Amino acid sequence: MQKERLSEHLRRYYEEQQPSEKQMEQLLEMVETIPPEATGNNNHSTGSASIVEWLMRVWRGPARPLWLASLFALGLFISASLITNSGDITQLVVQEISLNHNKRLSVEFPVETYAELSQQMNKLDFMLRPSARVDGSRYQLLGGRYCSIQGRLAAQLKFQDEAGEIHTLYQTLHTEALTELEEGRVQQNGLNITLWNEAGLLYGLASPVSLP
Amino acid sequence: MRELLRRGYRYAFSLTHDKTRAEDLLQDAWVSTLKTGGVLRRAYLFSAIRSRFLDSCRRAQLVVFESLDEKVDAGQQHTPADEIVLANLQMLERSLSTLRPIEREVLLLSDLEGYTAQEISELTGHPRGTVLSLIHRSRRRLKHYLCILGEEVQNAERAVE
Repeated sequence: MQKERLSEHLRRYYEEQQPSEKQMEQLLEMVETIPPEATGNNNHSTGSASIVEWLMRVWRGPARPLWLASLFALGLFISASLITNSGDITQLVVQEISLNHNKRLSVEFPVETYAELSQQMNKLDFMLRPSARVDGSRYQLLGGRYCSIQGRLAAQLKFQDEAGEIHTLYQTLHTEALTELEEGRVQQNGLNITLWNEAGLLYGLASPVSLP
Repeated sequence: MRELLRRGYRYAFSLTHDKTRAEDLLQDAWVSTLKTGGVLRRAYLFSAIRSRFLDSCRRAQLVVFESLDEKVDAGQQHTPADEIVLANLQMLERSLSTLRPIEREVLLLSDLEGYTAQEISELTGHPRGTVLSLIHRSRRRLKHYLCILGEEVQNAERAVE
């Protein structure tokens, strides 16, 4: 057996450690929901003077009507972007929930009632509450675990329905950072994800997409 | 960006020594970096991972980053024979699990990421001298565990013969 430096063994060991391809894809998808300047890849090298000169040249040129139409379209696009800007935080939360659901991690606290779960998950800064929108008679609680939503401590509750399908319900405090979040249902990564605000808590339900 | 994610994962793994927790940490740090419009750079991501790791330890009331106020082992000689025989990587994995998170962290940063002691000091907030001492002590402890495991393997092989 050959002798090697300890640092070489360490390098080899850590290089073998990789995130799963699925997680990698999902994290990369998230990058598309943020403005490009956050990736630090902007290369604006044109000076402001040359931009003005170029604009003036274009404005005086024969394609003036075409540029007017383009400016109008751009204006419409910017207005639409401003209106739908609140979708960013919603999209981030949806992606985070789908990522948490698809990890299929086992529960840390295997209990069957909210009362027991609340008692055991005592590090939460809110009280776990069943939602009026989730029909308790259709779902069997399997337990819960800690997770996070947008950097805030949250609870992931795992349920099983009569057909044996697994659903995960997320609860966290509905803070100011989530005020822009839109309620509703979207499909993401093979899941139906429903977000709603109820009694000061943000709820997110992830269910397999084949279900109604 | 894939390479950045891989590096972030390895760093998170060096802190947690647990694949699931490393994935959680990476995800949290990534989301937070994107949310705040942070620049997707190694230093920024590592710093986010580290702060989330410390938060999670505090939440779980785990004391993993013990005080490093030990005196710097200035008089200690650097072991010249840094070369070791390793039967398999599982031995290294087991030995690494006996180290503290900060010890695994400095080893990864120095040996894999090529951080200087000064850069590690800036990331972790520990003085440069403490970082140097920590790297030295972590290597020594790791070698010590590896030697113990190596002997166990040899004894087991002899018993089979």
